[in-house]
Amino acid sequence: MRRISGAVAVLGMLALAGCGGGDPLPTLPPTPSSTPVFASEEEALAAAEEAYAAYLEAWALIASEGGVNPERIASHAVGEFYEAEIEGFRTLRDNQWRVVGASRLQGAELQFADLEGSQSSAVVAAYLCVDVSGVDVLDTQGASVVSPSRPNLQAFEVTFDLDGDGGLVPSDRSPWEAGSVCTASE
Amino acid sequence: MHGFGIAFALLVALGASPTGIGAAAANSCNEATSIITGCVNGGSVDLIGNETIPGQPPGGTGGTGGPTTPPMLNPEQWCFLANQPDPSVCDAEPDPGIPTITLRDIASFVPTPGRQQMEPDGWTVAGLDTNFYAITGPHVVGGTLLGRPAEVRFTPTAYRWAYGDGTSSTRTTKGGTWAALGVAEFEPTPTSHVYERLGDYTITLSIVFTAEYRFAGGPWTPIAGTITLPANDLHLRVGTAKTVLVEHDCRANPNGPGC
Repeated sequence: MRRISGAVAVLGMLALAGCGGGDPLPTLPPTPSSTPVFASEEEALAAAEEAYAAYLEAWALIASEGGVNPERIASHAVGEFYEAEIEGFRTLRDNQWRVVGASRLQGAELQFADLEGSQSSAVVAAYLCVDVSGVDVLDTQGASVVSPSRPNLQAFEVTFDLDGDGGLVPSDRSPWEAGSVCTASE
Repeated sequence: MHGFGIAFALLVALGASPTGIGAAAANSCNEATSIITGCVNGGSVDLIGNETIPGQPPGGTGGTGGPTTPPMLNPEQWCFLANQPDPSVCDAEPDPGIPTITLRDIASFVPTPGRQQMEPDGWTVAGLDTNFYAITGPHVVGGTLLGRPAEVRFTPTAYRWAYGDGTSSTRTTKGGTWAALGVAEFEPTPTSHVYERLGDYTITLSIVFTAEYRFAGGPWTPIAGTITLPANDLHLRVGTAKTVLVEHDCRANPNGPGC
């Protein structure tokens, strides 16, 4: 019933606008509106932070085991982001590098949130600041392969999709200027 | 100088094993890269893969035959190793002589406000989807930044519609006409909205832009934060639709049966 031709609609409007009184025209039954996914932008940002913290935790676990069974990250990373992480784990595995410690989410600013969740992808985007100072990567001899010039605070623009349970899962990530999001949370 | 020599040797090895190392897509930087070298804003490089590196780096402790241990590298060396086809990507390291550019610094660069349109135009039917869409896109504005000629590129990233009926939504797409989207009239689009009640409404749209700057055709550097600009307002009357049989065109014969 939702499909209605433009011509009929015009006719209806003309009938409404111009002509002969009579009973008020009945309205069409209301369309069920989509349930909002997030009640507020604050809630959306909190969900994004939770999803990213869960991703960092899962990443640290797999990396601490040398990157074996990297598909385990699939519940915490999707799309291009997932592909990039699989590649990263392969690098760890091939070089027999071991990761100790975990990155920590240090700050977050919302870029946008589609509170209605009208699409399932890219519903939330946020600028995130990650502290990697507590993480080291060791070779088979136990020597660090971390670059001495690695920045300890790194900012990213992260896009999140809806997962099946009403939560978020990161789907894309780009490096971002470490300016405001990292300094604001210090 | 010694480090450069090592890097060159690695690059030669790359020629024999092209799959071992590679430039990543411009915006991809996985967590391993982030932890080992840091993800450089504006571009990044992938890690060394499983290629065998001829010769050992100074102080290297890796054995022979097994997986090799790359030397500690600074980002410039990583870029060199990754054989970035576009060196400017790797030169995107912040110039220590240039302070961090903020939105305040580019206040003299004004993005072109977007516009919004709707289908149908100016009226719609309660209970059916009305299609709103924005007309905007990435654009570059020239000017002066820190006393030097510069360009700022604005990219729309989010669209906040307030529909005038107490509801609003933020979209990540600017939408399009029914025809452009291949959607039948009054069908849902990613940016459509359904009015439930009759009345007159004013629709406002704010478009969120991100900004990047560059000097003299150099690499684009993102500026933290976003700029939100209002678009034009739209005015809409919501009515009802009812299918009736009429004798003639009601516009020609407004007093005819059914009109």
